[in-house]
Amino acid sequence: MGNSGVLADSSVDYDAKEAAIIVAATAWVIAIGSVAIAALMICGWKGAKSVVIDWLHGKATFMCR
Amino acid sequence: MDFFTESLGIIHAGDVVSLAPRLQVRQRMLFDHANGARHIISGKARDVLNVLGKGIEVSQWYAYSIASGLTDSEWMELIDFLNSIGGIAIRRTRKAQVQIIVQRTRWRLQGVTLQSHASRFPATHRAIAIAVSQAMSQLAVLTIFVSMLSIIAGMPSYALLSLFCISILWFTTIVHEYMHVVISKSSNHTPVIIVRGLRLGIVHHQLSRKRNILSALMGPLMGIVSAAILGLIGWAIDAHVVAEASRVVCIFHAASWLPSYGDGQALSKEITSFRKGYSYEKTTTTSTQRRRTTGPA
Repeated sequence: MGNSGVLADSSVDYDAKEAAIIVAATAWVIAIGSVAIAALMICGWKGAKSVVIDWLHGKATFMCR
Repeated sequence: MDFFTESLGIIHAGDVVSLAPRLQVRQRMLFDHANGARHIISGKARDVLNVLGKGIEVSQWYAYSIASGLTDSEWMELIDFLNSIGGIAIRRTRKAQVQIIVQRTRWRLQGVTLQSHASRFPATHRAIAIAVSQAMSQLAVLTIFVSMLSIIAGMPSYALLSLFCISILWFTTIVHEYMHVVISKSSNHTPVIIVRGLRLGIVHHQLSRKRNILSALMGPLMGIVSAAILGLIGWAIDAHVVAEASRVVCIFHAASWLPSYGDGQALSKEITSFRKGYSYEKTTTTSTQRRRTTGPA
């Protein structure tokens, strides 16, 4: 029994199990946000007309307005 | 920053705290009826937990705990333990909620990350929707921000895609969780849902191997199927952004089967224990056969 005066039942598991879905979605939204920020940095306030991302070669092409 | 916030970040002065649903203090035990856990508690801790019954204001609870003989660190560790099992229900006013969100954001920007409160919800239709909404609230704020940024950057299609994605994700995650709850309830147990920040999980009694595998397979599968149906509807009505968003959401649900995450972890655990059991059975059978063959003729 620790300082808390509680001896936890070690036979049960309280891990929250569904992290993957929402964490993956958060990562995806952050990725989109990063592309938007990159477009603003490269093209300025006018923004980009289109963005082509080549995931295989890690290259992104921004067509500015 | 007040004393309670500074030490834990879970509860704040002015909060009314109580024991979460499906938890019960009896004699020297804290029973969790959601998963059948029996936590052993000391006499002092029992008295302190007993007063939580109908809800008590944090400063009153603290005063009672100190009067019962708990030291500050013991009291904090008790709260820490309760939070680890989603055992504290907190009631606070809307104004206090907003103030705390603003405060926490400010501290996070300064590099101070406080513990988040683990909320426990009963496994009802409405509660599942509330739990999923709570887990996704930060993501929703982020999505709105990113969508605005995408519009400013001249990429409205990205904004639309993000907004559809989060809406489809919200609906299909409810379906995903609902499937876990249904399978758990089918073995006559009443599970609970625990939400910790972005993480959300169903706490239930130990299921049979068959049901556990079924639950780990069917949850993500129902998420994928419901996203695929929405995608097909989008495709049929020429709303290609819906079809595209559904495809992304299908990938997110499939990610639940990765061995490092919940459903995938449960599956790999069951497969490993099945293999161990199988190899044990095989060894036992082989040695029995050997005994039979090497026994006296």
